[in-house]
Amino acid sequence: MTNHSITGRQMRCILTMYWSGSLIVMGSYKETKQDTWMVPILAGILIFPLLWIQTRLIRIYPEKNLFEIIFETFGKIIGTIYSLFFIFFSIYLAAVIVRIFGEFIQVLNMPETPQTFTIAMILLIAYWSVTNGPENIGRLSKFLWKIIWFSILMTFIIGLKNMNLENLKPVMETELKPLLSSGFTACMLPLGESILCLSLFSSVKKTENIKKIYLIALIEFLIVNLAASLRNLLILGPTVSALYYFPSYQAISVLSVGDFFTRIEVLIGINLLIAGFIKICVCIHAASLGLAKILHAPNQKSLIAPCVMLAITLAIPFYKNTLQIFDFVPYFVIFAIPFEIILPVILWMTAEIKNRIKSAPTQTKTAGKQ
Amino acid sequence: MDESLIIYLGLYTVLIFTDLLPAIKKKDKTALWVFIPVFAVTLAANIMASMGFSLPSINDEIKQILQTTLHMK
Repeated sequence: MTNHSITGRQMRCILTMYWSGSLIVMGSYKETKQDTWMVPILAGILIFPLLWIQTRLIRIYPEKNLFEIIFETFGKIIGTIYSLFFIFFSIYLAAVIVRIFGEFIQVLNMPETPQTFTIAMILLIAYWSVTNGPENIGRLSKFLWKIIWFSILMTFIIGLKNMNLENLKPVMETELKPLLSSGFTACMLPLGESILCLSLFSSVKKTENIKKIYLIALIEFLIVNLAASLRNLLILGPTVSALYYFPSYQAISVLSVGDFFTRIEVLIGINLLIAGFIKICVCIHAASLGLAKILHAPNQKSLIAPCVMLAITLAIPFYKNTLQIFDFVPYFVIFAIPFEIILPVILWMTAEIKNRIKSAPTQTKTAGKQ
Repeated sequence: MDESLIIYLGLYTVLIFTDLLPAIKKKDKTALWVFIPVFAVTLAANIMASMGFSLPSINDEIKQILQTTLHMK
């Protein structure tokens, strides 16, 4: 599975888009109020150990994807069980994201259109994108990331006249516990999910600097997230911002340039959708890759459709209304701990021990010769 | 029964033409072993959902497990 089809820059864009795919539910942290802008920074600090583990895994097993790493580390039987957990998590995540987007589109843009239609269309396009290979996801991300940058920057500049710096005061008044709790939620909800992106690293050249890819992607994501948080806070204020489920959308809806450039909030909808779309593609890709590895299928492409069908079936009954999406966030954070922290840490520790044992005899031999 | 049924049938028809038929032609047994059961089960579940049956939600189960084990409110 070593096809060097993704460049370092494309991988960076994939990571950033993947993380931005969850911005839709990250918008409002009611407990942190005017200090909400600190949440992305805290999350960025908290995620460092997990990202280091991911880069270390890639360093130990260069040009291997997540499932190849699992099988090399644990062998066939435990590797299969281990892979099943990640396959489940990938399909689950794809279903959650697509369901949230179904809800988002219905609530804000198309109330008459059935959610089933929106979900089916998003998954069908994701199916075609994944079928075209990881290089397609890479190219898409590289192109679409520019649109996100541009629209965030543009809405920030247009919103300058509506911003009130008083909305950020009093600074640091929130207690440490809710601040850390929100930071941990932000760390788990989009950032920790990047373990599934390891499934794409087999397509990245060995010569690419993996740490640099992760670091720049994280910085870019944090800048965008911070800009969005600040924009929402400065325009709406902490009290009004906390009233809405999608504060970004509401903050932009008050902006306009004269009388000729209005309804800019559609841009935000498109932004969130394209980022979420990349995330769905990565999840479906990871799930099909895992299935192919378990079933020893020569081609992963024939297993994409079953993953899509499972995602659509899981997605529909997930939530009954918008309220449930946000009510489930604290449960998701706990539910995701095994997939995002425990399993990757065990995998890294085992890989590290195996690597040391493997390299030990060669080191002894060289020492003996000397 | 509502428009969801037509949407599901449309989606599954597309997947039959793009995935199932090529797999049958290629005699790709692994793909067929996964595709046919998943296809049958998910199509049945989706038809039931579009007819008004309420399917169990994984999230409800996760919530219940976490509430009983960790006493989350």
